Amino acid sequence: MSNSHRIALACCCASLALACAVPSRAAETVGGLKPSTPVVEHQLVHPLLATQITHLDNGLTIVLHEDHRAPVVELQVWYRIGAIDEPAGLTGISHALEHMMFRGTTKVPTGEYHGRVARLGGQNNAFTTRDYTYYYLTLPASDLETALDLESDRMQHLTLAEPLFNTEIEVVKEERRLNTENNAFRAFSENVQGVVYPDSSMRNPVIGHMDDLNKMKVADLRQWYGQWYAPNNATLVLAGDFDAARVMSLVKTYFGSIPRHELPARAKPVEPVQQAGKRVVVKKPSLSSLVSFRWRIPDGTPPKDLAALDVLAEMLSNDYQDRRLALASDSLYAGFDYPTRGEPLFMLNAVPSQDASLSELESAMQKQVTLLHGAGLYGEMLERAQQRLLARNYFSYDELSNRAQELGMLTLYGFTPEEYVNHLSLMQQVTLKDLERVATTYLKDDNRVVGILEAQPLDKAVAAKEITHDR
Amino acid sequence: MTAKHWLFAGIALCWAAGAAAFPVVQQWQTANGVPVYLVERHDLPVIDLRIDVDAGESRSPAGTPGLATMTLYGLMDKDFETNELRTPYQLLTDTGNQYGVDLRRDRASILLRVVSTRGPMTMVSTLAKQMADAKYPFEYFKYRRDAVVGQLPENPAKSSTERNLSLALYGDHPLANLDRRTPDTVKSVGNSAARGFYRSFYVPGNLIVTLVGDVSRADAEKMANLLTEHLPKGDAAAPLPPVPLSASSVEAAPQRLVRQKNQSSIELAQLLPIDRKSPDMAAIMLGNYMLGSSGFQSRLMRELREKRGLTYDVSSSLDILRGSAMLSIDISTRSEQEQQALQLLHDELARFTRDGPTEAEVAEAKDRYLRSMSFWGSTNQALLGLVANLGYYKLPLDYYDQLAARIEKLNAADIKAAWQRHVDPTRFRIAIEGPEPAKPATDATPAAIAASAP
Repeated sequence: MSNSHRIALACCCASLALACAVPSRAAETVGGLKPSTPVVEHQLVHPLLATQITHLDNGLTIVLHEDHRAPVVELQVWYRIGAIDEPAGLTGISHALEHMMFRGTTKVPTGEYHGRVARLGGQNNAFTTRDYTYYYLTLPASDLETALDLESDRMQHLTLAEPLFNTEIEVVKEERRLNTENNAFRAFSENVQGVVYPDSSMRNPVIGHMDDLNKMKVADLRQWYGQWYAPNNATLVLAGDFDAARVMSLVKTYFGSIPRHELPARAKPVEPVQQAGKRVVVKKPSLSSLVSFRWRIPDGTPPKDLAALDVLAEMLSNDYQDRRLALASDSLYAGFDYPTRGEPLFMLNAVPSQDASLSELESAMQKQVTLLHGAGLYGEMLERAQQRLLARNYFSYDELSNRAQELGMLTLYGFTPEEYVNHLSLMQQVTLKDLERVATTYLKDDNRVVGILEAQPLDKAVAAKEITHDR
Repeated sequence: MTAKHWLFAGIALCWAAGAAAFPVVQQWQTANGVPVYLVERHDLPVIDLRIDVDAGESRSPAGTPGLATMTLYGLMDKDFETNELRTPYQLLTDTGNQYGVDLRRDRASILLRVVSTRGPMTMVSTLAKQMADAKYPFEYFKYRRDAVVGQLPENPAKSSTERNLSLALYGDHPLANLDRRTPDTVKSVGNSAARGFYRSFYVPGNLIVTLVGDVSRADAEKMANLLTEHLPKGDAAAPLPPVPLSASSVEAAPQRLVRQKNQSSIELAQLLPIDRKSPDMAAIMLGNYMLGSSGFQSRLMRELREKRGLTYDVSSSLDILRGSAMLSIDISTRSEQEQQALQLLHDELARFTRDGPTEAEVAEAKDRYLRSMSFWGSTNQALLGLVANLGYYKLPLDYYDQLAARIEKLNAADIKAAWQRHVDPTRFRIAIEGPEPAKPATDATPAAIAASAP
């Protein structure tokens, strides 16, 4: 709660959380065996389908999702601006601006934003990622108008006072020290992303490089704010206990008169095709080592393959297919970073178990990948992964903010709720053959970076990075 | 939501701004005396079930830290019998349901989240069979033990500020068992010891069952009966000895855990001899909220982050167990300004204890606190934890109402008095994870050298 500006790292299959409206097979067990005839459950209509999406004349996208379970509303404002948009030398500026969004407008002085929300018993926070920046507010339903007032105000009237910036940028540097420089896994990840995307802004760390933070000026932020904080670069999501018709008129009152403005042209970042596997070894003081395989997945990969990669990640994250890998690793994580404004990325990470060397772990991971290419997949693993995705569907309805966040994200990436639900439905249709096909097509050595974090003692100084190329 | 459930007229007034009601909690006992707590919520097809057992690390016998951990972690392990194809864990999770455990200083918790339309009773029955007859087969046990061993530090006191302070403050008390676990202590835990521990502590008198979600009273009763009727027999565990508070009464030099970092993480902690049932607790809770646990509204955030940019995060927290609570403060800051930050923390603590808050601050903080209480339990998972605490700490069903009423009545003098009764700003234990401090300059004065000596 107390950290208002935590960075949500834009990694790893954020889209997995909700599943779909297809009838599911109930997998009740009888004496440890599954019934041979699957039971069809009652049809579940995906709750996100009950959503209205409209646009104001100034280009602001409005997403309204009513949910009357509790007298609470969640308001989120999403700006399509993140680390991927940042030029060299200005990394971290989107995130620094996010911090300054709480440091006062001409109408609401610094500290007052938090104060007003807190006095209503509400909560607020903000996240910056590679692809976007978003702000959220949870308030009693009766105070919805306060939220609209606060957000429309800071979309237009941010003060960006220099003395406050000079203090706040120190906070940002402390955040970088806390979460990156003194956090071996994060620092490692920053290094590896630099090797995966050496030539494009996809490598930019959201928090920014320390050099850039040291040089950043309030004038840079003023320009960034002026360029990107516009209604035609934003999405307003409202979820919770309100009446959509009444709320639309309030939204128009608060946001309708904000002028749209021309956004700077932005080219999609392009990273040259990787011709050969790469390797990076990072040595840092850390509690444990880590091996990470990262595969670049081409833009324009067909939807069916994207769904299969999502399911493959879910499967690998939760089930050991191979005993050797189970013995060599203490924890295993697979993720598929999609959707994205950059390029999709498939990742397999593992922490070595106490008795395994890093090379043993790496070769066990390699064997797992090879198994995926061949006929080594087990139907039960796939079924379990799909069941988990379905059940998680139900579980994620619990949090209103999950719904709002899914809606904001899918809108930002240009999907309608129907398209999104269709993707989730595709995941349930994935077969073993699909998994083998995507593993063979996309998880190759040539488009992979292998990252190794070699843990060093916490109390001794060692810091080194080696980059080599396979072959 | 029925606002009626909030009993106190005075609170109802200040909650009228849009507060949700704390949901109705149903409570009963199984035939063998296990308390069951239920909140029905039928909006989602989900049931959250939680079993809390007085079998946390504090119950591991002297010399065997890790026994309670291994007992909880291995609870679902079972050798296959004829015609069995899947383990209990697989039966629970293959259909997407979630099973988890949480081992703490003072309790062991088992959590099951199931979809209510997909045969929840079968899942509960699978869990119940293990609760009734956990066997800890050796191969599984060894595999789990190896995994736990890999996660533990060789020297806990040097491994983190939190462990360092807990060991110092709890001393020899069993509440520090959690921090005493090392690879060696866990390696010496055998599966027969786990079986014995399970039989002694996973008994009706030590258990609480909590359910939240899409389940009727009748089904909840059935589930609770299934889970408890065949538990091992035995007596409830005796209360733990009183927590020694003497460790807090000694002024000790900060403990330094040397790290290759450019940022120092500082933690201060003190044990307070009060718990949820103490008359002063509401005042201590609101004081803590004002000092450091209300995010940007807290004094510490305002003074250290907002005004000075010294840190990304500073907060205080209150960990309340039975008979004692730990008040702690955490901050991370660039190592060169470590002493400045520490001094400021001391100053703020001293000021808060000496002067107390102003009436206006208290009125404002009370209002915020009470309003934020209306969000407590807004999700099933959050509610599950709150309701389980009622059972585990033997609190009345209207505890949260009473707490709100107590908070509502507090004034500045109450907070100052309670704070002065229980908190001594000069006697916090301090631990710092950070680089070796800079060597004193060669022309250091004798006084400076003396101050840096142990």
